[in-house]
Amino acid sequence: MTILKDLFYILVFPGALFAAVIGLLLAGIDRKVLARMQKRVGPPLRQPFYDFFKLMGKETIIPHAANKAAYLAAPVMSVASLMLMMLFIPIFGFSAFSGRADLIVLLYLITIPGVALIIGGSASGSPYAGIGISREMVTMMAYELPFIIVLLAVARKVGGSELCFSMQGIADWQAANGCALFHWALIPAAIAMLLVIPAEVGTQPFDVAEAETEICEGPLIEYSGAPLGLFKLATAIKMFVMTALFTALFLGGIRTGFVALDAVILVAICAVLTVLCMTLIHAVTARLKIEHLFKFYWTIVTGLALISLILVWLGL
Amino acid sequence: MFKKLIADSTAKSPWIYHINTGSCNGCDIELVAVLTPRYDAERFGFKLAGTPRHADIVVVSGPITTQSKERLIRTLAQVPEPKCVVSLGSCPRSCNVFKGSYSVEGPLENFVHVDVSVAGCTPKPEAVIEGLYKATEILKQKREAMKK
Amino acid sequence: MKFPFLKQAIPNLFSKPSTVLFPKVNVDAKPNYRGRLAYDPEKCINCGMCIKVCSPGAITRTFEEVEGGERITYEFDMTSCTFCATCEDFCSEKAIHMTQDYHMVATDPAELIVRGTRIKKKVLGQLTCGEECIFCGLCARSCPENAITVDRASKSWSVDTEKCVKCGICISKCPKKCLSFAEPAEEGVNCSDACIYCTLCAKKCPTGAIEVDRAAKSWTINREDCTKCGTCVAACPKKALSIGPIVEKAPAPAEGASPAEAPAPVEAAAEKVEAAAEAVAEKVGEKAEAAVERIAEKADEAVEAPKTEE
Repeated sequence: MTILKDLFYILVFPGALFAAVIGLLLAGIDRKVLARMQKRVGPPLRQPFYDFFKLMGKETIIPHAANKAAYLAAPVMSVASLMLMMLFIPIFGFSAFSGRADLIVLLYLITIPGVALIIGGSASGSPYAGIGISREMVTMMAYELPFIIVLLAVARKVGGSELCFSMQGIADWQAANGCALFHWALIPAAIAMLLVIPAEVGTQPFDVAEAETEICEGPLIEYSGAPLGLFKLATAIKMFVMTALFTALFLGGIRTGFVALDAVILVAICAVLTVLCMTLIHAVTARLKIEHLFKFYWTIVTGLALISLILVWLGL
Repeated sequence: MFKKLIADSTAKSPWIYHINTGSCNGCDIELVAVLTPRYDAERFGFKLAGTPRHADIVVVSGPITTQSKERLIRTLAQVPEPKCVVSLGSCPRSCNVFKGSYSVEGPLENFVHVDVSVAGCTPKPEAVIEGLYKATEILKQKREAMKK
Repeated sequence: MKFPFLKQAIPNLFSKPSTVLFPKVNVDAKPNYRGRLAYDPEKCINCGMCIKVCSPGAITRTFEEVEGGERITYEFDMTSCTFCATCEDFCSEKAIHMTQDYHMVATDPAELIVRGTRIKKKVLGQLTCGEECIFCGLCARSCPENAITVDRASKSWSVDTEKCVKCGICISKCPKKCLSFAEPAEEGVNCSDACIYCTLCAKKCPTGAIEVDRAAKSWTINREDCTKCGTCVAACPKKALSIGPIVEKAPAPAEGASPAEAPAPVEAAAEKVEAAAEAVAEKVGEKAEAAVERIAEKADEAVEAPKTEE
């Protein structure tokens, strides 16, 4: 019975199907709101679903110079790790799998999609992809540092002197003490996390790795058909995963007891966060160069996260 | 069941790749004008793709010059099926005023079968939207004919 | 760090988008938009100016022999047209017009060709009787309209052109085969005496067929280049030009002489012939003189013949 229940968790509820559907929905909301901000009508909300199914129906062309195994495995790796992440993030008190060291597992899992993009790009055998993957590596280095510091800050706040890395533990603590966001020492960390999300997802102004017009889409240049569809799906699910992680870390105090209702509230909060930290910044800025991106993350965003860490470590 | 879903989606999410094989740029400007807020082709799902491997519809403008002939053929070969070729303006159909020039190879029909032609010098953005819309219908038919 | 578009982005979320919902809403082109060409073959006089001025060479015309004349087809290829409307500007009959239709999208390029056809009839001339006529009167008896009058005694033959319907029965009945429809008198541009040699017609002529020399007071036209488009007729300030049966222009009178005293063209021609004969006679011997005298006699007959026929 537990096997069936686990399979249900993995494949349907917070796992594959739920993550995919909500991820594509959030991507649709992002595009629609961006269009409205630019004073135009924009695509329907279902557009990313149409994109995904269309890509499933296109011919897959594997370039001659490509390493076939890595080329085909990279998108699968990317999507699988993201769906796995969803299983560890609690939906306001309900989490499918939870252990003592969830945050560490999440930290490792979240680097896999980036690495998969790098592997896919280098397996393509195109020089444009080479430029794209080197930029992607620098971007990953840039945002990983403040991300780790934010996680540390929350873990320290929740656990006291013995850091609490369990997501379920964080959720329970917030249920008891109110949302982590209301504790003012963690506010800089929340802002830093909001700024890390667009870089993780790869939207403007931090999409220098996948710059569409400059380097012909960087690592994805030689992808077509189903592998490309999976990469686009991975980007969409990442939006959901990152915003759900933010909700779980900072806004976890809300709890109604019904899993379905909790899920709906989670999706609503994720939609608002998407608009706030991804669409709004996308609409009003231009793409940053890689040096500026690196500098931005290692000075301002890291600074904010460090302030939070220091305050939390001092017991405030 | 999925076949119908995929066929419908192919018509609703066409990604465009634009090739300029020596045009005066008038038609190129009208094509990107189609993506501005006033005409907004994105409400039909049109999006400019950065690479020919992501494209469904290839829009060609300009007469085929000697310099661009080789590159045009190689780029068109990289576009995955099902694809649709649209010629924009009167240059790809007949080379317009550049007929007989020393550097013009000939009309686009000599190199690839053109599915839709949008005439005009330059065509109005509304005419471009009509042409692209017709191209999506042809794409759907091609998708249904593929892998039956 | 500045975010210059923030002030526009957030209010735009709550205002109506500025998109024109094209296929659902009909959009018309503005009044002087140059869209698809419209050609009226009935107004066209087949001068071919549009073909000469078309810069991409998008216009072609074909001739086809059909019963009673020839069919002329003009094809305007919209896939080659650059929509400059130069053909519209140069067409003297206003047969070409650029409409506001911008919906020129087709999967088959044949849909994008504008075509117009007209049949130009061959005009038959008057009935004439040749020299072999024996005045038998068979033609007069067979004419259904009684248009022919033949008098055997006085050896005269005439036809009433008003009654003649050009049925051709008389031609088939004639035993000597001397009847035929004459070629129509050739039409062209004629310059009358009112010409002041202002050279406006030469400047306006699109093919450059007219040459006017102001100093020498001469007006000449190259009949082969002339397309009879009528631009010169409209341009002449003295209304001296007209299109009709060709009549050669008389040379201008000498300085000081009034136009009324200028000799009639035929007599002037006769005088010229006699002068030429004298010139030849001086150079050549007697035989030539005799031959020249014969030429001069025939010229006199030619001068007298129209006078007697009147």
